[in-house]
Amino acid sequence: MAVAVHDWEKFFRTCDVTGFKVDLRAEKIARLNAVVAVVAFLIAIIAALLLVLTRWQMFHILPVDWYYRVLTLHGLNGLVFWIIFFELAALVFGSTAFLNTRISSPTAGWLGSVLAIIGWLMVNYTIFTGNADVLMTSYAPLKAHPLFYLGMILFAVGALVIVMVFFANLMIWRRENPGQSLPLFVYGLLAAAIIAVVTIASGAIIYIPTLLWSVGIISDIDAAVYRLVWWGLGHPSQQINVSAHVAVWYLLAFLTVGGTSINEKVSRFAFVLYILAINVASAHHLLVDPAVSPVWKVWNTSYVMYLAVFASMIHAFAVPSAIEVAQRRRGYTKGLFEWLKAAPWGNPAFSGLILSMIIFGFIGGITGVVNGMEQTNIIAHNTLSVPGHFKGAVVGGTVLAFMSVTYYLIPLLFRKKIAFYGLAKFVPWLFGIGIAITAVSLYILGAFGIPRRHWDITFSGGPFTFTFNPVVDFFWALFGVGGILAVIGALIWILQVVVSVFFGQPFRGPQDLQIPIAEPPPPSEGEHNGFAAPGTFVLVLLFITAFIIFVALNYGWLAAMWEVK
Amino acid sequence: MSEEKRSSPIKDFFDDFMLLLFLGVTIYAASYLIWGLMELAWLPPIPDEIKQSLLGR
Repeated sequence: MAVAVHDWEKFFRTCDVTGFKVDLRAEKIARLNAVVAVVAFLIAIIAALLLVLTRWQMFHILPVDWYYRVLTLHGLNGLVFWIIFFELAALVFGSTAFLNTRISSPTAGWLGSVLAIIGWLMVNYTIFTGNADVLMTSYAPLKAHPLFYLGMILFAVGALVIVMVFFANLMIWRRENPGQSLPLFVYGLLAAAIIAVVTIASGAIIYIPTLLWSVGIISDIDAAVYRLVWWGLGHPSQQINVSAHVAVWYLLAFLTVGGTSINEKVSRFAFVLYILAINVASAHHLLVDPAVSPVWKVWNTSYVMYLAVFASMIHAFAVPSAIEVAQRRRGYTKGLFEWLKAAPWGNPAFSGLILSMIIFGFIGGITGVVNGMEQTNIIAHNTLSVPGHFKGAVVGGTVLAFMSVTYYLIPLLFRKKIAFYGLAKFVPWLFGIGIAITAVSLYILGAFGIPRRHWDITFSGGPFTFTFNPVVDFFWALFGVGGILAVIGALIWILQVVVSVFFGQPFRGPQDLQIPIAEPPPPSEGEHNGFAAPGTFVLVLLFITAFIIFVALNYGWLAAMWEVK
Repeated sequence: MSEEKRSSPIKDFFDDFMLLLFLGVTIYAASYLIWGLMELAWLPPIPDEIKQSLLGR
């Protein structure tokens, strides 16, 4: 028995900063997925720059075929591959190191990673070679090369294998720790993993027949069925992001100021609402689809989806209140906002966390609800308001949260010092402000009726012409400036990650830690008298006011466009 | 043992990740996927003359 224990120990190291027992086999798998994620992000960012300089009509650099090729490349690498590879790394590392347990099957972990990487390479190859100009949605009857669909299937199967490894890791932990609850961060990852099962299963259900159709075994793919099932992949893949980045928010609140949720049960309840209700929100992509009934649309996009919106609003209170309570325990109790003023703004992970929450809530969240409602959706549908929404939700929310937590992962997961650390404090601001400007500009351009996924809105050479309100020129310029700022921020971050991971100085221990890890402050006397987090309460009221005003404005615009007598 | 005594039905529900997985998949499958597919299956086929005219034949 003693020999068996000794054998297990050789697979572990004890982190000299966190005290976690880290399974070295899981660490290697997590590292591989994280590195591939960053490469996919680099592809997405270069594509983003080309797209910004094409849609900004003043430059318009890409020819029409390359515009759609690069848009496909950008969508899949930015919205699917970079984020899901990063999440796979988080699932493997989070379910072992954070639980002080071992990986259930390193072989399955490697198998899943290799399958996903082969799939990712195949998809990128077919796009680069001009055999898959079908955009991210690849709506039938647009047809790509069979390797594209095969690549997507391999990626999905690989990701599913790693999700299964995650669940098996949890089972090992449960057996070793009966009666205990998962730490909140891992609980958020659990929500992401469950949503991932739905997402990946939907992908497999639709891509397998589409592959058979592309090789000629099946003669037709029903376009309506394709859209319905594909959106079971397309939107939930972004809900994985929401769960994962909210989990990262809780983690960052703990690492940067020592903040913990003031009511963990309520935070867990919010994650359970995500698990139960968030996936059906896919239906809002089909709100103008004539094939499904209004009852199906209204049920899935309002009654059920609002439970998920409610969950996000719980997190929107829980994370900042965790920060506020920790700061007040340190003595920053003056007025409503001394805790915020005295926060560690020089820590890039903290500034990134705050910007991520603001952009996700005020831009991504509010516009998401408006775009997701059957009535107001019609104003925004298929316009630039749609990418405006997800630039706020996914790029401002998820991507910025992942970029911020990476400043902890470089020393703790890769055991390297952060290269060019002095630049890190600028990255969240450059990227955050840039993407916020981009998102708002896109949303406004959409409000002027400018379509998304459109190479040339001047319709040059077309059978008819249309001139948009001249004010759109201002917002195109703003969009371009915001996009370039965000790209610069992202490129600096990628440079830091690549140089740190492949050429960086080794991280030898706590003395090499450049980014601080906060000690959780002890509870102070009498802190339960009155509001625990009055500043957060005021901020939440501000958010709700903005929310109500924006919804009211949209109903006003709807009434103005479509008068009901 | 004391941990077990503090256990409540809500905590048990929140901690049962296999039950949550089952519910997450089932609610999505019933409310979105199966219901949606049934609606598509019940759509009447497009009349042949309209189909031909749309296809330009």
